[in-house]
Amino acid sequence: MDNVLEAKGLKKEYDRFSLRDVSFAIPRGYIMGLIGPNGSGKTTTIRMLMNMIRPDAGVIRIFGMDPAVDEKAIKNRIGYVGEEQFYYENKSVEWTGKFVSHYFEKWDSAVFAGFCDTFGIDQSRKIKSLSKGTKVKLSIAIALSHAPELLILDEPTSGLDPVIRREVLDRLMEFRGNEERSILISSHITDDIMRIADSVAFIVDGRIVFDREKDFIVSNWKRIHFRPGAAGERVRGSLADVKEHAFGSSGITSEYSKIRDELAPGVAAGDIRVENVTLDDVLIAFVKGE
Amino acid sequence: MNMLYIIKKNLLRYLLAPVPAFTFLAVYAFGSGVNNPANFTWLMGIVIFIVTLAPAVVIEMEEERNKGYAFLATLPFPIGEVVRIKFLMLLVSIVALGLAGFAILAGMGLPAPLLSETVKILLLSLTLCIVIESLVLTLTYRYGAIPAVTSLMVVTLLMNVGTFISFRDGLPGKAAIAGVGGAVKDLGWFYQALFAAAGLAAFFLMMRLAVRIKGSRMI
Repeated sequence: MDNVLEAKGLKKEYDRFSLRDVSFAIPRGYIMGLIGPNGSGKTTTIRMLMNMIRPDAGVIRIFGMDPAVDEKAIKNRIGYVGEEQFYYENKSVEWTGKFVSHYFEKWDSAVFAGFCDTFGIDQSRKIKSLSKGTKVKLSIAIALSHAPELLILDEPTSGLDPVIRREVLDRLMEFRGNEERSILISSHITDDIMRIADSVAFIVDGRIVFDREKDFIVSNWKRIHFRPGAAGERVRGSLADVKEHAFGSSGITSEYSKIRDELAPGVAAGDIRVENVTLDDVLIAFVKGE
Repeated sequence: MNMLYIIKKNLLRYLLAPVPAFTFLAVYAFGSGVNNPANFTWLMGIVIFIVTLAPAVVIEMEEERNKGYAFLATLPFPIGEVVRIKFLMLLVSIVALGLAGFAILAGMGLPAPLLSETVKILLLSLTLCIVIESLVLTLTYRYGAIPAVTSLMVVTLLMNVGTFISFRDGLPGKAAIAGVGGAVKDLGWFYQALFAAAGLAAFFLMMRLAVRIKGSRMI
């Protein structure tokens, strides 16, 4: 399986924050979610990929090329939506579309116009008059109008209302289409990642703490509720984020497939209950360092 | 050649001030007659300085307000190219207005020695414009447009105050200024050319520095 994006050992030192040894890869056709709390290094990582920030150390390869050397060739094949949307505020949407069209080799004005229609963006309006949601949609329209092979999205749904969020996610799923195209999407809205991603990387305090396929997470990470005495030593040893409550205890395990057989009798007796976890739960478990 | 669109986007700013300013200078030069061509040429140099620096700084203020470089950094070209284009636009505008200035001087029908003196003054002014403006633009990329221009204004004000004070009786200011005027007049063409070449070298050095500065702080 070829990787469209590879990051190895990325480091960046700031006064109050450092990105430490960030490594991950995105195979062609994959949607990868980058999840982490605010300030964990998601945006820094993405800006390095976009050659907006120079890493202090590490290697980035996108389509096998180095963004610092082949910036033009790479960015022609990437659609990027940033955390914040920056455009020339006094210019119109139409002007903005024409301006960017001169730089992308495969820009398709008809596709851009189509997205503007679909998203309800009035091209005659000035950028400064657009709402945050409309600016995000404009960014997505621009990102998708030059036939990119890889989308890099930094918190694209942050601050959007649920209707627009769902619309944006649908567009992303459509984009992936025949699984030839890939997406890297960062978000702290884990529901969005759960909905569309194939694999998930958790970044906490400037470090990738976990990077697996979503299906693996769904099948191995579970919340186990058990009555006192119902869970054996091995089960209890595999649990993190353990909480005691009136009816017993509960905790999160990342080894469900290994302890499933041991849990089976308790589950059958009604003393143990197994629940799917959300990516939020997994993230919180990592943030707590458990 | 997509850099043409960066030029197109900013071109109007470079035309707005110089056209009326130079129309006025031409009307003044050819209409009412100029009593002191040397002073008129210094004035022309100051006008060129203002009408070329102002658009460069206004463009950068606009980029800062819109976070324009963060937007441009998403497009497929190195941001350093944008910086180079902006420096070259500044250089071209100074040279173009310099040529317009030479044309005005040539059209004034000055006697040969006076024409030679005014051309030397204009050449020196253009060299100073190139050096100072490239420095201000580099400072703009490093510290922002407002701090860069404020620094320039403070330095200019201090220089003016210093000049004003030194012009009082008993102080050497007046003689020094007269000395500079005389030195320019007597400066050989070889040294004029050497000075201009050094100014251009400084300009390209500043441009390189600005590309490095902007390349490391796009956001």
